[in-house]
Amino acid sequence: MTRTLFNRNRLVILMLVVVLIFTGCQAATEGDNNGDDTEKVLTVLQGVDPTTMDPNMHSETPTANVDRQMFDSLLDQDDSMNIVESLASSWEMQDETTWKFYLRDDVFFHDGVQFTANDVKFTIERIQNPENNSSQIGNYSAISEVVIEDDFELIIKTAEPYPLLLVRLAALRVVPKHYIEEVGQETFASEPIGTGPYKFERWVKDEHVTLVANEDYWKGSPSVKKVIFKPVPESAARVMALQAGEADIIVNLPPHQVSEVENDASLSVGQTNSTRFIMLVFTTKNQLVSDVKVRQAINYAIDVDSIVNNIFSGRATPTAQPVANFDLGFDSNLEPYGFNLERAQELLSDAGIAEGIVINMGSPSGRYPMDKEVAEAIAAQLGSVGFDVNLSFEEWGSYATNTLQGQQKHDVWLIGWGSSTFDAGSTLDFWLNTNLITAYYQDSNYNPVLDELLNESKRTMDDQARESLYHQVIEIIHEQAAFVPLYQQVDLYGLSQRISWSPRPDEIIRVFNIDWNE
Amino acid sequence: MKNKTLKMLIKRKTALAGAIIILIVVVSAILAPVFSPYDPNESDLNKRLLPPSWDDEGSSEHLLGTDHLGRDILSRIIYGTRISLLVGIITVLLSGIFGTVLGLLGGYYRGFLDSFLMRLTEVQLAFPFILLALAIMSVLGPGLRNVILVLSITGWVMYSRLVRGEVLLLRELEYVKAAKALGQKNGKIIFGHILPNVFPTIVVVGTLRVANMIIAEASLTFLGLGVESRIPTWGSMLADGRGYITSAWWVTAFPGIAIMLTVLGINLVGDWLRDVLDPRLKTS
Repeated sequence: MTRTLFNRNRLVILMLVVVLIFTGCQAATEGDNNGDDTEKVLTVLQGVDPTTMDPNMHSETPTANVDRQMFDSLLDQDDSMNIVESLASSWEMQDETTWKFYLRDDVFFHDGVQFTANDVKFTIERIQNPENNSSQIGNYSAISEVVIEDDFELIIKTAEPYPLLLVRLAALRVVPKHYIEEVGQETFASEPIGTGPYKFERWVKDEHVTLVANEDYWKGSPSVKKVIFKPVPESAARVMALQAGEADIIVNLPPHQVSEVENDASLSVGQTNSTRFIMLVFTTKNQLVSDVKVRQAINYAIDVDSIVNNIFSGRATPTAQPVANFDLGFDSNLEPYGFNLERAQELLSDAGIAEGIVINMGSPSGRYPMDKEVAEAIAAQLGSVGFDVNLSFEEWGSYATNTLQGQQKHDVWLIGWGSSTFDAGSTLDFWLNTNLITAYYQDSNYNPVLDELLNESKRTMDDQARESLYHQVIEIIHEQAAFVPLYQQVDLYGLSQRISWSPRPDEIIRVFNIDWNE
Repeated sequence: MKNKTLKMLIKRKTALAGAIIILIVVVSAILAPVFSPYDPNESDLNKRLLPPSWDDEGSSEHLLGTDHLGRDILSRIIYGTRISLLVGIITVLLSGIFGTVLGLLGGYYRGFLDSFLMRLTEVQLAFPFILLALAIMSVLGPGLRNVILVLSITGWVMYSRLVRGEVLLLRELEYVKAAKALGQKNGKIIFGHILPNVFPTIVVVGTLRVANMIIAEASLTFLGLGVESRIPTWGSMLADGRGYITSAWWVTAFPGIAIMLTVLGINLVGDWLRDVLDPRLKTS
C-alpha cells in the first residue's frame, strides 16, 4: 500500500518536472530574438498586466501602453505634448462651442473596412452612455452633440466653452462601429481591431500580450514587426530580465539600479521628466490638521531635497504646487516652504500641539517609484518634530477607490497625480472644487473663493486669463498649506542597446516610433 | 539530576552551541536598548545603504551597514529579536495549552467530543499552514496582536493530535486504571496522572515549534500581512531589502542570517531535549 502510494507520488513529481522543463523550453524559444529583422521581437516589461483591450473603458497608463499601439486617436500629442493631427487632418473652431473636424480618407481598420466619421460619433457616444460604465465618461461629458456632415467631416458641439476639448480628443481612441455592433462589447474587449500600427494577436492573461505590425498602416509600415508586453511586478526582477537580454524596455527602473544598468555595455537608461507629481494631502476635516499652523509646520518639517537627493539620487524635481510644470497654470515663481525644523517646532507650539501627538499617515506601496521609502522617510522626519506617526500602507486598489470616493480618513496621505490635459484646471478642480467629493481641503473662509475662481476658469477660453485664475488658486492653497507638494517624478526606463527610442512625459510607449539599431 | 543534565548538555557540543545562540538572542531581546548602538527607527537619509564596516566604503559607525532609509542594521536586528521571541514563545504557549487541553479531553473521554475534535483538526490540516494564516490575516488585518492570534489558531492542531495519541495509550495503563478504581475524579486523573507523562513530549514539540513560529511570523511580515511596519522585525527587514538585493546585499543578508541562526539554535536544543526526555531512547 505505502509502496504504491510512494510510486504514485514519484510519478506526479516526475510529470511536474517534465512539464516544467518543457515550459522552460518554450520561454527560451520565444525569447530567442536573433536572426533577421522580420523575426526580431521587441519585449516590453511593465509592472502590471492590462485590464482590458477596450481603449474606451479604462484610465490606466499600463493598459493604454498596449491599446495605443492598436488604436489611433482623433487628434494626437507629439513628443513635446503639442496637439497635432492624427485621424483628423485639420480642424477649425467655428464659435466658442462649435468645432469642425476634417478626417483622413485613407485610413482602414485591420479588417479592411474604411474609417469614417460614423466611427468617431459612435466612439464618443459609447463613452458617454452611462450604461457602458466607462471611467472616461467625465472626460467627454462637456460634448453635447456630434453631427456628421459627411463621411469625412464632422462637427463637435459643447454645452459651454470647453478649453480642454482638443486635449480630450487627443486621447480619444476611435473604435470600429461595424465590428463592435457585429461581435459585441465583450468580444471586442478581448479580440480588438483598430486603425493603429499594430494588430492584436494574442493575450494570455497575466502572461503576455502579443501584437504584430500592421503593414498597411496609413503612416507607413512599422520597423518593429512584433511586440510583446509582459507584466513583471518586481522592479528587481525586471532589471534582471533586462540584463539577461529577455527584454528591450522595462518601466520604472529604480533609481538605485540606474548605475548598474548604465555600466552594462549592452544596456542604456531612458529618462524623461514626467507629468506626474507626488504630494501629501491633508484631510482637513480631521481636527489635528484643520489648523493651518499645523499644516505649515508639516510642510516645514519635511526635507524634500534630502528625499530627492538620497532616495532618488537627484532624479526628481522638488515642487511647490500640486500642478505639473508642463501644465498651463504652473507658477514657476512659487518657492516651496523648504526644510526648517525650528520654524516647524515654533508653529507647532503656537498651535498648542503637544509632543507625542499621534498623526495617522497613509501611503500606497509599490504604486509609484520608491513610494514606500518616501513615506517611511517622511514618517521619520515628522517623528523628529515630535509627532508619533502611525504610518499604514494599503493595497493600491482600495487606496485608489477610497481616494476617488472622498473616503480617505488619514490625517495626511501620499498620492501621485499625473494629468494628461496639460492644463492645471482638471487637477485643481479635482482636489479643491467643493462640488466634488474629492475636495479634501475644507475651510469655509477659502472654499467659496476657490470654487468661484475654478468655475470661472472652466468658462474662460483665453489661455492667459485662465492662467492668471489658476495662479490665484495656487497662491491661496500655498499660503493655507492645503497640501504638501513633494516632487515631480522623473520616469526611468531600462533599455537594450538593440533599439533607439526616447521616452515621452506622458508615460506612453509608442512602439511605432522605435527603430532597431542594426 | 540537574547537574547530570547540564553535563550532558556540555558533552553534546551541538546542543551547547544551540544553547549559546538562544542565550544571546534572549539577552539581546531583554537588553536591546543597552546593546544597540542606535535607535532602530532613527533614519538619516544621507547615510543610506552604507555597506558593513569591513567594506572599503563602509563606516565604522555602522557595523553591519545601513538600510534604504539610513537606519542602523545591527540595531534593527537586535530589536528584531524581541518580536521574534515574543511571537515564538507566546504563540507556542497559547496554542500548546489550548491544543493540549483539547487533546487530553478528547483522548480521555473519547466519544463524540473526540470524533468532533479529530475531524476539525483534519479539516484544518488539509490547508497548507501558511495559506490558512494568510487567509485569516487578510481578513483580520495586519498587526502584532493579530499575528499572535492567527499563529495560535493555526498551531493548536498539532499538539491536540499528538497529546490525544499519547493519552489513548496512557489511559489503558495499569496506574490510570488503578487511580480510577480508587475512585479518583476524572480531572485529577487527567491533570495529575496523565499530563505529567505527556509533558516531555509537549516540551520537545513546543521547543521545535518556536522555531517554526519565528519563521511563520517573518513570512507573514515579509508578505506585508504581519507586524506593523513601525516595529523593526526580521521579516520586514527582509521585505525592505528585497528591492536592493543586487546592489546592497547586506540589507537582506544579515536579518536572514539572524533568522537562520536563531532557528538553528532552537532546533539543536530541541533535538537534544528530545534525546534527553524520550524514555525509549534513554534505556538504549
